[in-house]
Amino acid sequence: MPLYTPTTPTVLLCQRLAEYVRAAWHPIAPSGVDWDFFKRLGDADALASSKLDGRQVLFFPTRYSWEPMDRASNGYDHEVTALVVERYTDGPGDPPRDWTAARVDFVHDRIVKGLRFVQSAPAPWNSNLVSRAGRAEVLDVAKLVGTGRLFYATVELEFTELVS
Amino acid sequence: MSLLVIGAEGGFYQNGGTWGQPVWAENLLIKDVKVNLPFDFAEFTDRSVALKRYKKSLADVAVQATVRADPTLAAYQALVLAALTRNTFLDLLILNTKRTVVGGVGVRGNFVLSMQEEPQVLADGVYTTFDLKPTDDAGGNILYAVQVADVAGALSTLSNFAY
Repeated sequence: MPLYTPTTPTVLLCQRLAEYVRAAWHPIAPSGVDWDFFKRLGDADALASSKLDGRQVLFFPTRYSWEPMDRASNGYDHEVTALVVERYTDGPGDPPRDWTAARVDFVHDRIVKGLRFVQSAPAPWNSNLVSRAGRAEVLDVAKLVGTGRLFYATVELEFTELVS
Repeated sequence: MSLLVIGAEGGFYQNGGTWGQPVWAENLLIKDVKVNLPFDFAEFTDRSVALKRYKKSLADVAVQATVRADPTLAAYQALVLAALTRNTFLDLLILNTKRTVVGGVGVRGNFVLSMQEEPQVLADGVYTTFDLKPTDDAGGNILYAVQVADVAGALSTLSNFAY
């Protein structure tokens, strides 16, 4: 069955962001990058479909709005949520600080800085897409110190795109 | 049949041909247009009538157009060049509908342009506002009020502002 190609600009943007991060990061399996509308994250004994292996980066379309920018084009404001998750499995006990810091830096470097598209350095697939703003949750501490020992960080990204 | 006319469906056309044989290209970078066509009134009053009477005298035409700045497109470049040079003027057709809507009204004429402002706000799109004033070309063509006559875009002349 051929893959479905979305037509909603915000959903299509999530697909493009996943492709872009995948090409820049080159994740080694089982780590990966994808987009979706939701993602079940099971515990270590969960079903294979929801079992979390490696570092996963996921893009979710959150919200979009639009208004005319000129007589032929609309400006779409896209709100996208990026989720970076990885389970600590290197040993017993809490993850060491440096392990966590490396993941926090991954979020900043690959997601926040990596997806900051400006006029002088636009998105390679669309010169009419620019980054507006963003907000990152450094990590969810409860999930990290809980039994799941899950690094879980979300970034809310805002983009504006000129759509004819 | 009534028609709801909104600004987004107005027509702002630039002539790539000649005055006698125009080739109209629509400028789709337009955001807002404001067309002001006021006449001054000259009073003529005498004792025969107990009423002030007026004739139209001079028309003081002013058009303002706000355009999304895209320096990569020829339509924007033409407006900026006309605004930043002293002697360049443009032959424009400015209607309150597209050229395909019969009954649409506007002006056709030669305009000199001035760049009124271009705010460059940090995170917003850049728009340039131009002031347009009528001028004449070598053939004495200045400004006409026009109306769309058919769906092919033919125009009928309502009046000559110059006379």
